[in-house]
Amino acid sequence: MFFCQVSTGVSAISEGQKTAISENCILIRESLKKTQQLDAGKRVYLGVRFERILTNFIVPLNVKLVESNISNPALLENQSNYAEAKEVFRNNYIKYQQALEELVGLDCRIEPETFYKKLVVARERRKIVGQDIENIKKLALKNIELVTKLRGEL
Amino acid sequence: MQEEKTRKVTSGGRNLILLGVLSTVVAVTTTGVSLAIYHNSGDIYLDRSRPGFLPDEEEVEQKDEDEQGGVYNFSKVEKLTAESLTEYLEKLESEIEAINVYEKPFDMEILSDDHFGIPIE
Repeated sequence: MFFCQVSTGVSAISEGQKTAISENCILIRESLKKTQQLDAGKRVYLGVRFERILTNFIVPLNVKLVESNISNPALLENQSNYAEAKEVFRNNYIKYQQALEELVGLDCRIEPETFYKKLVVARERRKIVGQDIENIKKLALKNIELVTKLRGEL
Repeated sequence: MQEEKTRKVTSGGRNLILLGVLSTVVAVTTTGVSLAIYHNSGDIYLDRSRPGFLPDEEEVEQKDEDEQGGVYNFSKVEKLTAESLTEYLEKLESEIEAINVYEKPFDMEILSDDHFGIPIE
């Protein structure tokens, strides 16, 4: 299984940046809490659809192919890749939310430098989640491509 | 006689207190374990019933529309034909379209320095 490593090394931030973080701390924290809420909505919305594609489309089609004695290794491989990508997305989303939670829990007025370091980690993890979603979409599109080819062979 | 009766009452009272303490310890431990599992499994991040995480009215309406339309399931298709695969493809394409409602669901702007008013140096 593929897990992404996130670096935590961030060069020291400037005095100007520290001051800005401390001064805007309340607004930053409010914005982060809003982001958590919005992310939860998106995660549930996407998660339901990702799961539905697997359980209502990809898996039953492969079962039907086996029952009909039609061999299609490419579709089976795509199913396994899709299921793995969905699991990776789930795990990386949890890691991202944990990073965001740590960030919200920090008092940025007192610890602006630590806050910034953790902000960089949260950004990297968010980026990974975005890549995971693109990967899942790519595999769903691959399924369309393979099924279109199969339809032509029937 | 009187002394023995008093001792029995004291012992009963002590047992009652012990039972109360023990029950509290068991309740606190099991609740703690449950919360740890809830948190570590990541289910906490999917729980929309948490205060402040309740779905917006618009989201609820969208869900109702989805439910009214019924959910497609290929396993209900009896025979594997070109027609059944055409329907499969149409339905799958509409699922992917639904995913694309969010063009960039986890875009980076929302955590950028600029968004938080942090000067870029």
